[in-house]
Amino acid sequence: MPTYYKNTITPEGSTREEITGEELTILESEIADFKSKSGERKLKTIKEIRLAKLKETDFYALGDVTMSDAMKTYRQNMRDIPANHTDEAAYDLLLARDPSTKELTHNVWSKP
Amino acid sequence: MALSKIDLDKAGVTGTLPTSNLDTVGVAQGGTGLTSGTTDQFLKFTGTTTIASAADNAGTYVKLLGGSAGSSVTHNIVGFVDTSKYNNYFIYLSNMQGQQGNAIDFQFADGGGAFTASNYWYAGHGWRSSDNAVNLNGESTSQIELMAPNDGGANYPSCGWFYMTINPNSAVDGKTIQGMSWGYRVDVSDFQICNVAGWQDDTNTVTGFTLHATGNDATTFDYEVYGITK
Repeated sequence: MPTYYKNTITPEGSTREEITGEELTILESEIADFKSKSGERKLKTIKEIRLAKLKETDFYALGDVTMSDAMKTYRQNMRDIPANHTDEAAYDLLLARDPSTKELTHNVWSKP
Repeated sequence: MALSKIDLDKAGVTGTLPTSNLDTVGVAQGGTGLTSGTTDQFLKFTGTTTIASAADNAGTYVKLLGGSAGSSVTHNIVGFVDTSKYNNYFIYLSNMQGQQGNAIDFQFADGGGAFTASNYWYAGHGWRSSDNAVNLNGESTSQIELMAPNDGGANYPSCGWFYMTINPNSAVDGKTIQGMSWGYRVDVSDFQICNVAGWQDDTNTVTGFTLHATGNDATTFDYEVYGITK
């Protein structure tokens, strides 16, 4: 098990001590809880990205603009992300970015 | 003719005034009459002709703490609250490293550690350089997410600042924070900035705060804590 520390900083000085006992038990519970929600946090980020990309193309739905079939498919695929991508490995692929351009690489984000 | 004025220079008057007469002699500008003083204090006016001294930290922003926090999961920064002098504190955190896309949580604290009851309320909103929103929120939680958007890989230090209010005059438990954080988030490869505010619904006596890395990566940062004089 890793060792965890806590700092106590006051006007009189500072100390650093190992976290033990009940405090350690609570901390480890927090760690487990946090790790268990990793996929949930990634899906939240994906939904934020999706919302921004849907807003970018909302104007195609206006009455005086024609939305192409490719655009309809692009928008529908993004809406279907939670149904079609259901585990953390899939979320990682959706969040993957090109190391040099920093652009998202999954084809679901490719705007026609 | 009555003598109305004597020009001491022209009369060539010299000599030393008796010590007993010194109290009545006008003192030139800058004369203080002080025979001793306290190191590192300043002179100040008192509203009369008497001059006094005062501590050199009696400014508007008074630095109460400063330094570098070593690698730890939890940082209790306590003992600086003085409700007789300050209602508001300015806290600046810089060069923060060690977060891995995780939140930095805030809790009010005293010498015994953080207050962890589920009575915190908070909301935050931010934006990423990749044009996506960042949202933080919670009701009746055990902490405030202060710095969710930051990520500090070794090469990507992040920063944040916030005001902490401990106002004993408040009718509704006046313990709040408001601030901003920014940094580079490695897991989505972009820069982020976030505004956040939070409140604790409790009447406990607070002497400081706790920062806790939710993801339990050891964090390091430089800190400065200022009291804002009432």
